Amino acid sequence: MTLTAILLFSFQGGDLVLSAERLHIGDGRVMENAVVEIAGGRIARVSTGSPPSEAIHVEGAHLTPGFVDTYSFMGIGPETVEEAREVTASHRVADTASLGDPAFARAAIQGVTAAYLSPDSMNVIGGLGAVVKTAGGRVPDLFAPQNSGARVVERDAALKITLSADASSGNSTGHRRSLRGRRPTTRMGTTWVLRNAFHKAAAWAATPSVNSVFTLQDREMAILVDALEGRIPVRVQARRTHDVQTALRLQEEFGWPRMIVEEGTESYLCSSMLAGAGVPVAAGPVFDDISRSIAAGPSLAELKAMANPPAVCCEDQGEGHEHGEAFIPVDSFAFELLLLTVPRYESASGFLRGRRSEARKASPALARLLEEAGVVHTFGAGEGHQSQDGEASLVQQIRTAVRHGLEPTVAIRMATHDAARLIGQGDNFGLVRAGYDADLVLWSGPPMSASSKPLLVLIDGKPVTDIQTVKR
Amino acid sequence: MIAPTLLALAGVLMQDSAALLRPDAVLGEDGHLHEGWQVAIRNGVIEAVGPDLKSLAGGKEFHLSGVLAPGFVDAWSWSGCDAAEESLRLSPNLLAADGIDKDSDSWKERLNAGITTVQLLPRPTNTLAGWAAVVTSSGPEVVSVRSRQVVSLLPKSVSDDRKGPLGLPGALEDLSTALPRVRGVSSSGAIALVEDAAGVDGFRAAGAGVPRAFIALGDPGSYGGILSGDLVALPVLGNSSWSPRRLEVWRRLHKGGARIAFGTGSESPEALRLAAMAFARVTGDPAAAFSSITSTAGLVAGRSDIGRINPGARADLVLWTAHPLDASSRIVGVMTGGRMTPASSK
Repeated sequence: MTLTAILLFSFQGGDLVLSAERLHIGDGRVMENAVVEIAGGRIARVSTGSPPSEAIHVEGAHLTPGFVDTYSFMGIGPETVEEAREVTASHRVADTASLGDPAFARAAIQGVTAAYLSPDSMNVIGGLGAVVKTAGGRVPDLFAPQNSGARVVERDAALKITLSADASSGNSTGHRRSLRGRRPTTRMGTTWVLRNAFHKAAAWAATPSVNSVFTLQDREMAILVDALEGRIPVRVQARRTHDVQTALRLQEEFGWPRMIVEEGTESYLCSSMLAGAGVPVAAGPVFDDISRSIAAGPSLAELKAMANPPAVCCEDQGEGHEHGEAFIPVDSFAFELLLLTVPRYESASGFLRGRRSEARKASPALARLLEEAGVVHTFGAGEGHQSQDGEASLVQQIRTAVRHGLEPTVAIRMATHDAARLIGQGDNFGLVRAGYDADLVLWSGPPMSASSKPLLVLIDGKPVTDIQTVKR
Repeated sequence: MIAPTLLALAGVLMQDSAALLRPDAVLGEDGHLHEGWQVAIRNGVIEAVGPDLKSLAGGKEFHLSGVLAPGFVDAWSWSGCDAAEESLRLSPNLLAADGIDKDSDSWKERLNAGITTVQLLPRPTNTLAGWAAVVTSSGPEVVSVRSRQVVSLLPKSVSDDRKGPLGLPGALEDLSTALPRVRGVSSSGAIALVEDAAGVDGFRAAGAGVPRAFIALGDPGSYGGILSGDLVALPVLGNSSWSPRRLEVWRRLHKGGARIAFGTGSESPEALRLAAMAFARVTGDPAAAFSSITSTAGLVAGRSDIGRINPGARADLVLWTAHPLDASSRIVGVMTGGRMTPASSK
């Protein structure tokens, strides 16, 4: 059966049977000669054996669950954040994200079937992130193909907190007549605003309301209380090591039951603390356009070795603990020296110091280092699908991690089952198991191979639109 | 023979009397020309329309050479009105009717373009910008002081770093808390200026139960798929805004079920008729095109009694030499509220 026939058949709403030489279930296991039956948008049955006659079977193909981007800005522009104040807990990114943005279609045809949309990081408490499927939603664009819009699965998936410098950027005490003339202007101020908000929320929760009107402030307080009591996770954006540490201190102070570190560019430098606290990392992108960088890098193996320090960590702090430069790993000087002497990794190569160039010790081996330390790690492309020229797409990020030592089966597990669990959807998708959403990707070969491409991407059992149509 | 007839008509109708108009044809709400129809008017209101009408008691009968059509309705415009209050974050009580500039040339230009009624908007600098007003081009006289509450969900227009908001999320937050409290909005409704899907959804959510209309700015092609069934006012084509894509967007919006009207904004009144002509061309639906600048435009302004020749509607009429969307047609005379206007009767 040709691919064209597959698409036509599926668009007509018929159930599907897929057969693959290798099925990556999503939990790290691989099944040979698997047959997956799909009915009503869900996986009906998974078995082994020779492919039945009606099955779609492509020689040498691999089948995986759809990849899940756990840190994405698809459909989120600068107009989606309200910077008039620092605490906007009640703002929902699902209300302002452009769900018809072509970025979703670009992600979908690359095998990304779901994503966590994170509010932007310009406020200390930025609001509520959302979980979406990258296709199958309404299409507000009059010129877009059908089903190419994202579909919101969960509107209130997590509360965004920012500890990076983004939250204080733009504020200044010099802007006395402007809303920008306010706290925070430093990281210390950021933490103060955060503490202040959660202390107020705790007091609000402890005091019976005498006012029958549920005000905007009440709504914000209620969301903070939800975070305090674990009804929604807290996602703390922290790039630098000491921001990650601050997040851990705040978790201890407020007892956030469910905390996730977002981006975590330097989190490998305090991985043992994260592992001890059981805090996962929804990583951000660590590399820009991979086609211009890794392949061209002349001494990648050397960089990998040097960017891969032993788990020198936060507990190793002591003398030399200066502002923003704490906990320098033993060989980080050599690592930085390498960055200086190989300028292609800084500029033309697309190597990132974390988003917004804030974290200076970004490592392409982040995923492996965290995995080795026992920290749950998932992948995020940030703005990687927004344009062709920005941060690398999710698949490129994952393949980069594999090139830097991560086991392919572990990488696939991180990008599917682990990712789905991290965003609270572990019972719905991320595994090839009966009863789960039929979000599947049929790859032309091993998914982590640079030459492999998605042949067919299913979301809720329906193929996303064909590649030629999506390329607008 | 036309001019003497019209002058006589002007003289009679200035006295608010009754009259029976017998044009060559009447352009009905169905978009078709009805030869042999007459229109009976009393005290500025259409009393009857159809064939074989009898003269009204105390009224006179006039034979008119040409096609009698409802006057055009400009669904939204800022010309001839200076209404904005930027010192406030929200200004729901501002009245566009208070900002009318009676000396503006725009009124005469509207009459010369066949526009008898216009909905004037306060400038969209605040999320709640104030009340729009429905005004006749002749006079001008205010027909509705509070036609629609104007909601601006244009981030660049409402952003203000002194009083906020600084973006669409803040505007939506203001809207959800303040719109339900605006007195009269549940009956008069609101009209929102939007430029993306988030604005459309946000307005729908905040204005649940409130009669609504949209002014679709930016590129409606990128979000028009969620406007099906809604009243949607589009900007006319300005001198620099003609493009095949825009016309295709109009066609797709119409095909998708949006009820389209046009407004001139700050463009020339002449552009209103041209927009309807272009709309007729791309949609192949002249009735929808004509209603886009008459009855549907009236509905955008919350009025079912303007832009149509129906019993009970205002007698805002224009006599044309042919169908108004025929490029060769020209205006013979304009009547607002049953009175011939000085500009057109000269």
